[in-house]
Amino acid sequence: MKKFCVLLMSSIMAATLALSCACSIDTGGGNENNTPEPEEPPVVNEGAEVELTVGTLSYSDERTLINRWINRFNKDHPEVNIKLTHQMQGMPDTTLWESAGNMPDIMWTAGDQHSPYSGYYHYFQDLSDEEKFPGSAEFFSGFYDSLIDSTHFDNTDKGIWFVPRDYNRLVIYINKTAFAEAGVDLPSNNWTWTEFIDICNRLMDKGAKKAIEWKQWRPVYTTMLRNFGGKYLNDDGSLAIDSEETAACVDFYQKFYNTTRSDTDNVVGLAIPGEGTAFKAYPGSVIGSVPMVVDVRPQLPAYMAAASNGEWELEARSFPNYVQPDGSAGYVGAGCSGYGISKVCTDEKKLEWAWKFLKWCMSEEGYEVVSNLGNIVPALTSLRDSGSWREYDYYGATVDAAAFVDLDNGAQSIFLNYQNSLPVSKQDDFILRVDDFWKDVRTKSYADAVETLRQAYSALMK
Amino acid sequence: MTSSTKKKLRRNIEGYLYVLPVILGVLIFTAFPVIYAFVCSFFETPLKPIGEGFDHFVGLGNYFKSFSDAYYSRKFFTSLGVTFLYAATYIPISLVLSFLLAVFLNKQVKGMRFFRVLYYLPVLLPAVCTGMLWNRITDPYYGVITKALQNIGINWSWFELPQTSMVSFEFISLFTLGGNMILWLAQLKNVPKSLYESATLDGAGKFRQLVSITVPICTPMILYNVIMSIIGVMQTYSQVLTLTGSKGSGLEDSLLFYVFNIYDNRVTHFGYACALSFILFAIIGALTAVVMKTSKWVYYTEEG
Repeated sequence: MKKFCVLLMSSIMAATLALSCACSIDTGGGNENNTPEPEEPPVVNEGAEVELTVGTLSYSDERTLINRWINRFNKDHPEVNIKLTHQMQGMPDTTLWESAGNMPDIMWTAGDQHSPYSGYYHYFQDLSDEEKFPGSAEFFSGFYDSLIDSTHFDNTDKGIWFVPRDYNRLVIYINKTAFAEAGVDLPSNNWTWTEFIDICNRLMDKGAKKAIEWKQWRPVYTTMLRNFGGKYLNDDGSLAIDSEETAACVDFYQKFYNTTRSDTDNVVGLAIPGEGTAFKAYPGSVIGSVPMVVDVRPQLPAYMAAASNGEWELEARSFPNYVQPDGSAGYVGAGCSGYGISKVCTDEKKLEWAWKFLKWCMSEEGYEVVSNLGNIVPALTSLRDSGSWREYDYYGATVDAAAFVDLDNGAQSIFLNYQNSLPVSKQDDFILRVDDFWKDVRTKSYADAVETLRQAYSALMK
Repeated sequence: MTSSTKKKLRRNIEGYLYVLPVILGVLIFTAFPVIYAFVCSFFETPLKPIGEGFDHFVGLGNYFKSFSDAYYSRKFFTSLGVTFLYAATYIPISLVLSFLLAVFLNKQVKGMRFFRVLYYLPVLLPAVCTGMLWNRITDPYYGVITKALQNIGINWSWFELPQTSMVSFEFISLFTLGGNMILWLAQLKNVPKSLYESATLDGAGKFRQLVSITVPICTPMILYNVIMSIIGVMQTYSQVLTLTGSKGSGLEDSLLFYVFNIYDNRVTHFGYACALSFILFAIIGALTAVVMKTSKWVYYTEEG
């Protein structure tokens, strides 16, 4: 018995030790290693006339990005000292800061989540106010329209509550190696939805596990729904989900994932849900692979790293143009993140420098400073087809920059804040209920999912 | 105040001063937040600085919301279901395994202390650290274990599929068995050797001794471990968050533990989050009461 105990314990210990050693090996994964550029040490201007604090998302990529801007700005302007002092997991953390009386002067915001914080809690200042923020109209005229649309907190609001930072249009990332093995030609950026489905089918015929990883994500849902002609809400804020168009969209969505439970349907799904994991885990052959994924530009460095590690080639293409029944162009969601000036930044000097800083960050010069991080498509239309962001490479590998802007693609960019026709206080809650709707249609019938959303909407609007 | 009371107070003043910091700490950092949260639970209010008041008084509305509003009801019951599923599967498995581990580690073998320390070590690591470590080694693309399993033909998806999320989480949680194990060990040391000697003389084998002597004497510890496990499991949070990273409560809410539901509402629906906390308090209290009421099977030795 004693010998058995010793043997058992020793075996378990050996296994644990082996795993511990394995854990210490740098496998090249995770956010820290996706960007080739290391995080810079902060540049501090001791005794500067003006001190500004900044809050951003706690992710490594986000910190690296804002620190790059802060450092360069501090270097060029010794009279101001900007510091990254606050980090958040998400927008609700700003309320925690506010409750603690400790809000930074400049805050990151998601373009589709700022409304309650701009229009209800009033955390952000209106940057369209020319008196406070001189040159505002001219500055914002340089941004993509769909991004400026997302800076308003509802359909009637004309304020601009943050400076859009990036132009995140949905794109399709492609495993070029798997396409070549399958004998499928790479599509052009001007491909249509019909061509896209055809390519999906051909990849499936060649043994792909699924043709595409289709993210279960609001921008994807909204783009799909809009292309099918459906919508969540009418302009007056009433629920518009129950329509033939939405039903058609849901029907497609269920079949796309093959979530329909009817055995008679005999539909082979073309897509799997996921966050890019299956796409990155290329098994070395098209058989069993997932050669496409729908995503946005900020994930490019991660996909580049995966391709480099897995020794396959990556390419990017615009989101396929879902040509409408009347022959007009289809739609593709384009969102952004950005930075706003918070309500605590009231001192005249601080305000002046905060505005200067943000204008500089989102200028041609500012975008040059962060271009080699690879995760930003500038929000300025003037940089649509120029600037070094287009030349980003990962150890020599590049993708087609035109895929991220609408240069060669017919589809129109749409802003994603469908909730804007609701009162500001209800918007966030409505988004969560819509997320549940998309969960429901994967397990329930369309009618049941609509009924559940209708009940949730009624309860919310009471 | 009578003179004798005054005298008593004067005599004890030094003692009161000694305990004052602790009393203040408990009042400020425990009692006040509990009372504040209880009051908040009757208001529909977002999180606000203390002193700014609350928005709307809704009486018991926040308590009924989990049953009357389709959206909240779904989250409430999903989170409760996930938490109960975890409790119902993890608690028995962890109790049995930690007990068996303790029985093995109780053997008089050279170097056994070393093993005891090693098996207890993971308990000393903060849940956040172990969560991050496991997040790394179970990474679906880069993870060492994932790769090792793939090499032997097993494609385990860890937290990438709703079907595998809970099993993966329970497997990882089992690495903290050392906490229960150390308590079992303490109890096992208390089992009188004479009982085993008598049993041996009577011809009882090792298994019979385990079932008829060791387990009955350990029943107070079983009761203690069950109660503490219920309390711990119902409050599961930090390890899930660090394990699943940006996926939070897991795909398809497969790891939407009860405390996650509280966390999700903590800012915009602070009053409701407070009500959820008190509902959790009631659930834990009720479960503990049930366990205590049905604890006739616990055998207390003469020494207690």
